[in-house]
Amino acid sequence: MFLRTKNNLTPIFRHAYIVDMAELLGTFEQIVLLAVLGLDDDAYGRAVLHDVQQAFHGGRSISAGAVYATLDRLEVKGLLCSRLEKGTPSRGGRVRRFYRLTPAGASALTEARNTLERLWHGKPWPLEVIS
Amino acid sequence: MKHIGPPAWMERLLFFLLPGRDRETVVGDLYEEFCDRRASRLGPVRTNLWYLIQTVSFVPRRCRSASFKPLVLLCIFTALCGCWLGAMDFRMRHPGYLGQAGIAAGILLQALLTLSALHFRRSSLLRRLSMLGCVILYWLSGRALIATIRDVNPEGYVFLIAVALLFQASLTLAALRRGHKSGMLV
Repeated sequence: MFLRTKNNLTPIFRHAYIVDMAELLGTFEQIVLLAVLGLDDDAYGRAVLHDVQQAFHGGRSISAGAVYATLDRLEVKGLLCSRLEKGTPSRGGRVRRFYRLTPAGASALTEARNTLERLWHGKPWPLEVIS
Repeated sequence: MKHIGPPAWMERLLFFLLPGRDRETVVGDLYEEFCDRRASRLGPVRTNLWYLIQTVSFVPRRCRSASFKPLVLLCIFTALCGCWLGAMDFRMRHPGYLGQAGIAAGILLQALLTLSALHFRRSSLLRRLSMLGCVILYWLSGRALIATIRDVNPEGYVFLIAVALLFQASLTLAALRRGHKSGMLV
Protein backbone atom coordinates (compact mmCIF):
# COMPACT_ATOMS: atom_id res chain seq x y z
CA MET A 1 0.00 0.00 0.00
CA PHE A 2 1.41 3.35 -1.00
CA LEU A 3 -0.27 5.38 1.68
CA ARG A 4 0.53 4.50 5.26
CA THR A 5 -2.44 5.00 7.52
CA LYS A 6 -2.87 3.93 11.08
CA ASN A 7 -5.20 1.14 10.02
CA ASN A 8 -2.59 -0.36 7.68
CA LEU A 9 -0.22 -1.07 10.53
CA THR A 10 0.13 -4.25 12.50
CA PRO A 11 -1.80 -3.72 15.78
CA ILE A 12 1.41 -3.98 17.80
CA PHE A 13 2.84 -0.90 16.04
CA ARG A 14 -0.38 1.10 16.00
CA HIS A 15 0.21 2.81 19.33
CA ALA A 16 3.61 4.03 18.13
CA TYR A 17 2.27 5.53 14.92
CA ILE A 18 3.09 9.18 14.40
CA VAL A 19 1.29 11.02 11.63
CA ASP A 20 3.75 12.08 8.94
CA MET A 21 2.68 15.62 8.01
CA ALA A 22 3.93 15.14 4.45
CA GLU A 23 1.25 12.49 3.94
CA LEU A 24 -1.66 14.68 4.89
CA LEU A 25 -3.62 16.07 1.97
CA GLY A 26 -3.63 19.81 1.45
CA THR A 27 -6.87 21.65 0.62
CA PHE A 28 -5.92 22.11 -3.02
CA GLU A 29 -4.98 18.46 -3.35
CA GLN A 30 -8.36 17.49 -1.93
CA ILE A 31 -10.12 19.78 -4.41
CA VAL A 32 -8.23 18.23 -7.33
CA LEU A 33 -8.92 14.70 -6.10
CA LEU A 34 -12.63 15.52 -5.70
CA ALA A 35 -12.72 17.02 -9.20
CA VAL A 36 -11.21 13.82 -10.62
CA LEU A 37 -13.68 11.75 -8.60
CA GLY A 38 -16.62 13.85 -9.82
CA LEU A 39 -15.63 13.72 -13.48
CA ASP A 40 -15.37 9.93 -13.37
CA ASP A 41 -14.31 8.69 -16.85
CA ASP A 42 -13.97 12.20 -18.31
CA ALA A 43 -11.28 13.40 -15.93
CA TYR A 44 -8.60 14.76 -18.24
CA GLY A 45 -6.48 17.84 -17.55
CA ARG A 46 -8.70 20.50 -19.10
CA ALA A 47 -11.88 19.15 -17.49
CA VAL A 48 -10.19 18.97 -14.09
CA LEU A 49 -8.98 22.56 -14.52
CA HIS A 50 -12.56 23.70 -15.23
CA ASP A 51 -13.97 21.88 -12.23
CA VAL A 52 -11.30 23.25 -9.92
CA GLN A 53 -11.98 26.80 -11.14
CA GLN A 54 -15.69 26.28 -10.54
CA ALA A 55 -14.97 25.03 -7.03
CA PHE A 56 -13.49 28.42 -6.17
CA HIS A 57 -16.76 30.37 -6.02
CA GLY A 58 -17.77 30.12 -9.65
CA GLY A 59 -14.78 30.52 -11.85
CA ARG A 60 -11.92 32.18 -10.02
CA SER A 61 -8.89 32.00 -12.23
CA ILE A 62 -6.63 29.13 -11.20
CA SER A 63 -3.50 28.69 -13.27
CA ALA A 64 -3.06 25.57 -15.33
CA GLY A 65 0.45 25.16 -13.91
CA ALA A 66 -0.88 24.77 -10.36
CA VAL A 67 -3.45 22.15 -11.37
CA TYR A 68 -1.10 20.07 -13.54
CA ALA A 69 1.65 20.20 -10.89
CA THR A 70 -0.85 18.91 -8.31
CA LEU A 71 -2.08 16.16 -10.66
CA ASP A 72 1.51 15.04 -11.19
CA ARG A 73 2.28 15.14 -7.48
CA LEU A 74 -0.81 13.10 -6.63
CA GLU A 75 0.17 10.56 -9.26
CA VAL A 76 3.68 10.29 -7.80
CA LYS A 77 2.12 9.79 -4.36
CA GLY A 78 0.05 6.95 -5.82
CA LEU A 79 -3.28 8.65 -5.14
CA LEU A 80 -4.10 8.99 -8.85
CA CYS A 81 -3.30 6.90 -11.89
CA SER A 82 -3.50 7.95 -15.52
CA ARG A 83 -3.91 6.56 -19.00
CA LEU A 84 -3.35 8.09 -22.44
CA GLU A 85 -6.00 8.20 -25.13
CA LYS A 86 -5.90 9.23 -28.76
CA GLY A 87 -6.30 12.92 -29.53
CA THR A 88 -9.11 14.52 -31.48
CA PRO A 89 -8.87 17.13 -34.28
CA SER A 90 -10.15 19.79 -31.84
CA ARG A 91 -6.83 19.53 -29.98
CA GLY A 92 -4.60 19.19 -33.00
CA GLY A 93 -4.52 15.40 -32.67
CA ARG A 94 -2.55 15.52 -29.44
CA VAL A 95 -3.12 12.71 -26.94
CA ARG A 96 -5.21 13.16 -23.79
CA ARG A 97 -4.22 12.01 -20.31
CA PHE A 98 -7.17 10.74 -18.28
CA TYR A 99 -6.87 10.48 -14.50
CA ARG A 100 -8.53 8.09 -12.09
CA LEU A 101 -8.59 7.85 -8.32
CA THR A 102 -6.68 4.85 -6.91
CA PRO A 103 -7.79 2.96 -3.77
CA ALA A 104 -5.03 4.82 -1.89
CA GLY A 105 -6.47 8.10 -3.17
CA ALA A 106 -9.96 7.14 -2.03
CA SER A 107 -8.72 6.22 1.44
CA ALA A 108 -6.66 9.44 1.69
CA LEU A 109 -9.74 11.50 0.81
CA THR A 110 -11.87 9.56 3.29
CA GLU A 111 -9.28 10.08 6.00
CA ALA A 112 -9.04 13.81 5.25
CA ARG A 113 -12.82 14.14 5.45
CA ASN A 114 -13.05 12.14 8.67
CA THR A 115 -10.33 14.25 10.27
CA LEU A 116 -12.11 17.47 9.37
CA GLU A 117 -15.46 16.15 10.56
CA ARG A 118 -13.95 15.14 13.88
CA LEU A 119 -12.41 18.60 14.26
CA TRP A 120 -15.62 20.41 13.30
CA HIS A 121 -17.80 18.27 15.54
CA GLY A 122 -19.48 20.39 18.21
CA LYS A 123 -18.18 23.70 16.88
CA PRO A 124 -20.75 26.46 16.46
CA TRP A 125 -21.66 27.41 12.91
CA PRO A 126 -21.51 30.09 11.58
CA LEU A 127 -18.33 30.90 13.50
CA GLU A 128 -18.59 33.65 16.04
CA VAL A 129 -15.37 35.51 16.49
CA ILE A 130 -15.15 38.04 19.30
CA SER A 131 -12.96 40.93 18.22
CA MET B 1 -8.57 30.91 -43.89
CA LYS B 2 -7.35 32.53 -40.70
CA HIS B 3 -5.42 30.31 -38.30
CA ILE B 4 -7.06 29.97 -34.88
CA GLY B 5 -4.68 28.81 -32.21
CA PRO B 6 -2.00 30.04 -29.87
CA PRO B 7 1.03 31.77 -31.40
CA ALA B 8 3.73 29.29 -32.37
CA TRP B 9 6.39 30.90 -30.14
CA MET B 10 4.15 30.60 -27.07
CA GLU B 11 3.52 26.94 -27.84
CA ARG B 12 7.26 26.39 -28.20
CA LEU B 13 7.87 28.13 -24.87
CA LEU B 14 5.23 25.98 -23.16
CA PHE B 15 6.74 22.89 -24.78
CA PHE B 16 10.14 23.84 -23.35
CA LEU B 17 8.75 24.43 -19.85
CA LEU B 18 6.97 21.08 -19.61
CA PRO B 19 8.50 17.75 -18.62
CA GLY B 20 8.64 15.21 -21.46
CA ARG B 21 5.64 13.15 -20.39
CA ASP B 22 3.29 16.15 -20.18
CA ARG B 23 4.30 17.94 -23.35
CA GLU B 24 1.76 16.61 -25.75
CA THR B 25 -1.10 16.27 -23.28
CA VAL B 26 -0.86 19.72 -21.67
CA VAL B 27 -0.21 21.55 -24.95
CA GLY B 28 -3.23 19.72 -26.37
CA ASP B 29 -5.43 20.62 -23.39
CA LEU B 30 -4.55 24.30 -23.60
CA TYR B 31 -4.94 24.31 -27.39
CA GLU B 32 -8.44 22.87 -26.97
CA GLU B 33 -9.31 25.46 -24.34
CA PHE B 34 -7.87 28.24 -26.48
CA CYS B 35 -9.89 27.34 -29.60
CA ASP B 36 -13.10 26.00 -28.02
CA ARG B 37 -13.72 28.46 -25.25
CA ARG B 38 -11.40 31.42 -24.95
CA ALA B 39 -10.93 32.64 -28.55
CA SER B 40 -14.66 33.15 -29.18
CA ARG B 41 -15.30 34.82 -25.80
CA LEU B 42 -12.25 36.97 -25.18
CA GLY B 43 -10.94 38.07 -28.58
CA PRO B 44 -7.45 37.47 -29.94
CA VAL B 45 -5.41 39.80 -27.69
CA ARG B 46 -6.91 38.67 -24.39
CA THR B 47 -6.86 35.04 -25.47
CA ASN B 48 -3.16 35.27 -26.27
CA LEU B 49 -2.59 36.98 -22.92
CA TRP B 50 -4.51 34.18 -21.17
CA TYR B 51 -2.34 31.60 -22.95
CA LEU B 52 0.83 33.45 -21.98
CA ILE B 53 -0.25 33.55 -18.31
CA GLN B 54 -0.94 29.81 -18.39
CA THR B 55 2.46 29.21 -19.97
CA VAL B 56 4.24 31.32 -17.36
CA SER B 57 2.45 29.39 -14.59
CA PHE B 58 4.60 26.36 -15.49
CA VAL B 59 7.84 28.25 -14.76
CA PRO B 60 8.01 27.51 -10.99
CA ARG B 61 7.68 23.78 -11.65
CA ARG B 62 10.42 23.93 -14.25
CA CYS B 63 12.69 25.83 -11.81
CA ARG B 64 12.05 23.27 -9.07
CA SER B 65 12.98 20.34 -11.27
CA ALA B 66 16.12 22.19 -12.39
CA SER B 67 17.20 22.88 -8.79
CA PHE B 68 17.28 19.17 -8.08
CA LYS B 69 20.27 18.51 -10.33
CA PRO B 70 22.74 20.95 -8.70
CA LEU B 71 22.00 19.35 -5.34
CA VAL B 72 22.81 15.86 -6.65
CA LEU B 73 26.00 17.15 -8.27
CA LEU B 74 26.98 18.94 -5.05
CA CYS B 75 26.39 15.79 -3.01
CA ILE B 76 28.56 13.76 -5.39
CA PHE B 77 31.25 16.44 -5.23
CA THR B 78 31.28 16.64 -1.41
CA ALA B 79 31.22 12.83 -1.15
CA LEU B 80 34.35 12.67 -3.30
CA CYS B 81 35.90 15.48 -1.22
CA GLY B 82 35.14 13.51 1.96
CA CYS B 83 36.86 10.42 0.52
CA TRP B 84 39.86 12.47 -0.59
CA LEU B 85 40.19 14.30 2.77
CA GLY B 86 39.93 11.01 4.69
CA ALA B 87 42.52 9.32 2.48
CA MET B 88 44.91 12.28 2.84
CA ASP B 89 44.44 12.31 6.65
CA PHE B 90 45.39 8.64 6.91
CA ARG B 91 48.31 9.11 4.54
CA MET B 92 49.79 12.20 6.27
CA ARG B 93 48.92 11.22 9.84
CA HIS B 94 49.23 14.73 11.22
CA PRO B 95 48.50 15.19 14.96
CA GLY B 96 44.76 14.81 15.53
CA TYR B 97 44.29 13.11 12.15
CA LEU B 98 41.68 10.72 13.52
CA GLY B 99 39.37 13.63 14.36
CA GLN B 100 39.89 15.11 10.88
CA ALA B 101 39.20 11.72 9.32
CA GLY B 102 35.97 11.58 11.36
CA ILE B 103 34.90 14.92 9.88
CA ALA B 104 35.72 13.64 6.37
CA ALA B 105 33.63 10.53 7.07
CA GLY B 106 30.81 12.80 8.28
CA ILE B 107 30.91 14.80 5.03
CA LEU B 108 30.73 11.58 3.02
CA LEU B 109 27.91 10.22 5.19
CA GLN B 110 25.86 13.42 4.90
CA ALA B 111 26.19 13.40 1.10
CA LEU B 112 25.01 9.77 0.97
CA LEU B 113 22.22 10.51 3.43
CA THR B 114 20.94 13.42 1.33
CA LEU B 115 21.03 11.32 -1.85
CA SER B 116 19.14 8.56 -0.04
CA ALA B 117 16.55 11.02 1.29
CA LEU B 118 16.02 12.29 -2.26
CA HIS B 119 15.72 8.78 -3.63
CA PHE B 120 13.52 7.22 -0.94
CA ARG B 121 11.07 10.07 -0.94
CA ARG B 122 8.68 8.70 1.62
CA SER B 123 11.11 8.00 4.43
CA SER B 124 10.60 10.60 7.13
CA LEU B 125 13.53 9.15 9.14
CA LEU B 126 16.01 9.82 6.32
CA ARG B 127 14.53 13.30 5.84
CA ARG B 128 14.94 14.17 9.51
CA LEU B 129 18.46 12.76 9.72
CA SER B 130 19.42 14.66 6.60
CA MET B 131 18.01 17.90 8.03
CA LEU B 132 19.96 17.35 11.23
CA GLY B 133 23.07 16.76 9.14
CA CYS B 134 22.48 20.10 7.40
CA VAL B 135 22.72 21.92 10.73
CA ILE B 136 26.07 20.19 11.36
CA LEU B 137 27.20 21.11 7.83
CA TYR B 138 26.37 24.78 8.52
CA TRP B 139 28.46 24.67 11.69
CA LEU B 140 31.33 22.83 9.99
CA SER B 141 31.45 25.03 6.88
CA GLY B 142 31.07 28.21 8.96
CA ARG B 143 34.00 27.18 11.13
CA ALA B 144 36.12 26.28 8.10
CA LEU B 145 35.28 29.57 6.34
CA ILE B 146 36.15 31.68 9.39
CA ALA B 147 39.40 29.76 9.86
CA THR B 148 40.29 30.22 6.19
CA ILE B 149 39.60 33.96 6.31
CA ARG B 150 41.66 34.39 9.49
CA ASP B 151 44.53 32.22 8.29
CA VAL B 152 47.67 33.99 7.06
CA ASN B 153 48.20 31.30 4.44
CA PRO B 154 44.66 30.22 3.58
CA GLU B 155 44.16 26.89 1.86
CA GLY B 156 42.06 27.19 -1.28
CA TYR B 157 40.70 23.65 -1.21
CA VAL B 158 39.32 24.11 2.33
CA PHE B 159 37.53 27.28 1.21
CA LEU B 160 36.12 25.52 -1.87
CA ILE B 161 34.85 22.51 0.11
CA ALA B 162 33.37 24.79 2.81
CA VAL B 163 31.46 26.81 0.21
CA ALA B 164 30.24 23.57 -1.44
CA LEU B 165 29.04 22.28 1.96
CA LEU B 166 27.25 25.56 2.64
CA PHE B 167 25.41 25.36 -0.69
CA GLN B 168 24.67 21.67 -0.16
CA ALA B 169 23.10 22.33 3.25
CA SER B 170 20.97 25.21 1.90
CA LEU B 171 19.76 23.32 -1.17
CA THR B 172 19.06 20.20 0.89
CA LEU B 173 16.96 22.12 3.41
CA ALA B 174 15.08 23.87 0.59
CA ALA B 175 14.37 20.57 -1.20
CA LEU B 176 13.40 18.73 1.99
CA ARG B 177 11.17 21.52 3.26
CA ARG B 178 9.45 21.80 -0.11
CA GLY B 179 9.00 18.05 -0.18
CA HIS B 180 7.61 18.14 3.34
CA LYS B 181 5.00 20.74 2.43
CA SER B 182 3.97 19.17 -0.83
CA GLY B 183 4.23 15.55 0.24
CA MET B 184 7.13 14.74 -2.05
CA LEU B 185 10.72 15.69 -2.08
CA VAL B 186 11.31 17.22 -5.42
